[in-house]
Amino acid sequence: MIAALAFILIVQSLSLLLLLVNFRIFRSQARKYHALLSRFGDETGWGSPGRILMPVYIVLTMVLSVSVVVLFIWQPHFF
Amino acid sequence: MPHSVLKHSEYLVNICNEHWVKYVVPVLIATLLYATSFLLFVLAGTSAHHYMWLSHTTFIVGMLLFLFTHHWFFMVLLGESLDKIIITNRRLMRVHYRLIFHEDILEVSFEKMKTVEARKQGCIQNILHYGTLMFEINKACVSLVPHPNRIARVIQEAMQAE
Repeated sequence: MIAALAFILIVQSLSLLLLLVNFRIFRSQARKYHALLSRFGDETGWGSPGRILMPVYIVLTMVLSVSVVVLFIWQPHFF
Repeated sequence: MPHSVLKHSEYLVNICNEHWVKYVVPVLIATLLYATSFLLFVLAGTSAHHYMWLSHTTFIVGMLLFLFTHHWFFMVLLGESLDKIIITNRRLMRVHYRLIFHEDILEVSFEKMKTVEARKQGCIQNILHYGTLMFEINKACVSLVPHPNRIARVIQEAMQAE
């Protein structure tokens, strides 16, 4: 039980780390696009891609991480 | 980045996203994988009282599948959301980025390409209003363009003004 829980916690930590890496990569690519458009004298037409999707991704990953750990600990009581 | 030096008097004419039909396949695959991992969680729960190690193994497999699906799906969505078709008075650029894996910028200069054709093939493309732009018959193609006739008209106007 403890070994399985430890493994699950490590995997969830790696998942959060991957979230951070994806967030940074996406932000740097979004900056490139802004730079490309600003060269045409337009920064308003871009519409900030990922402005809804990225917060959803972050919140969902965190909530699901906690949920999975709670589900593992309490699963004998759920069923 | 295409063209390190911006040509004089180049300005933006239109920006559009690719057609939403590109999201259909990833959503279907993600739904299937999410459902599979959910079933594994249920299986782990039902066997928790009697077969502890089977339950733990099933739970861990379900969790790994779930996390893989979750991150893959959002990486695809975020990558696709960065894809744009940019039209200026001098060129068309189709920008494709996939987080980490892939970077592709297609550039069509209106100085070299003088004709553009919009093509919708099959009933799905006609019903959903998307298609392919073809420059100089087949020299350059831009697929998944929403309302390609309208975009082709914008490009023709830019080509004539060039």
